Amino acid sequence: MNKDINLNNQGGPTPSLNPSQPNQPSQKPQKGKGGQPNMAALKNLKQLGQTNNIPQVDSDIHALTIVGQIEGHAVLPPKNKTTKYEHLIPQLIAIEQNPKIKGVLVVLNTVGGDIEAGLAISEMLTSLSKPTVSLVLGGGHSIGVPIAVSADHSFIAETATMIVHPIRLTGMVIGVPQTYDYLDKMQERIVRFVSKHSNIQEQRFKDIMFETGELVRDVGTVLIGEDAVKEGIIKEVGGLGHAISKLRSLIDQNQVENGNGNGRESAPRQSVIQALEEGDN
Amino acid sequence: MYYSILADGLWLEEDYQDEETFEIENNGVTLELKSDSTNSCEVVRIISSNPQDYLNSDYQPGTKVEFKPFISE
Repeated sequence: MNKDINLNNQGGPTPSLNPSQPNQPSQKPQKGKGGQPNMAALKNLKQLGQTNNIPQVDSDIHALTIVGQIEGHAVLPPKNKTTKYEHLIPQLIAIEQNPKIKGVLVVLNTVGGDIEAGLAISEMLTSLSKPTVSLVLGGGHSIGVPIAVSADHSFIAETATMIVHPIRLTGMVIGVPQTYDYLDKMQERIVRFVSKHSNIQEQRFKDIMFETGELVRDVGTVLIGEDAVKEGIIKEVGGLGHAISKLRSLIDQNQVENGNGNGRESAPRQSVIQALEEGDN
Repeated sequence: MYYSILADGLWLEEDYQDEETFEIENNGVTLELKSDSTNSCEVVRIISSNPQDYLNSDYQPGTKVEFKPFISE
């Protein structure tokens, strides 16, 4: 690959995003001038089964998908599907600063991962000044639990699960009492965060964490959908529609509280509808 | 330190060979690319918090990205 390629897209040649075969001579696709078919759309349709005519609208809700392993200080081998904190943290900073973004939806389907990275993401989410809603789909296990509870409101799909278990040690274990103390302190960070940001008490969270007889070869508890709500970790059972409508109502509430007039998103839309109706009459 | 439900060590083993991927930024959207020949790549993953970026057909996984070589002065 040419080493002179400017990856930051500033000056010089830029990687051109056009859906053409690598061995074909490079030619710019015609953009449907003079009744010609839209070549880019045709190529997309041929190669990817897609058309190019999806209307682009600005979304005031941004989404963070936290999938696979949460990668922290060490890069995991490529077979792992990971969510990297160096991707999420700048996105959260950009969301906080962008006035066009009104709320954030966090979608979780994670097996857990690095404690420091998971807690960093949780702390960033909880200190975000904009409304946040989390939705646990599939699984929100281990370090996924503090991330799920860090949002202003949390949902879990009926079939989704959350496994709460103690922290384990990997690799060589040094058998000194300090090892246990350190492990206990790390665990305490998670227990405290979860109990502070949800309706579960510290002691109850520890109890389900050290439950025996629930998991086949492990200590801990599996919470399926409704169970997580009953324990007070998650606020409601629901899906995408519920999460978005809750986020919309939190956005409206946030705008009213921050004194932006009535600030409601529906206000300008209402005036447009009114104008259209008047036009019809 | 990890807090995960996956069996210890299973996911840390490096016995799996996969093509190297790298990231570029295009119009504020980070794309993860996989090299498939000397001057072209394929989009593997979109990294963006804006859900609309995922509808952009130019960024769909599988889309070819061409690098145009030039002689630097």
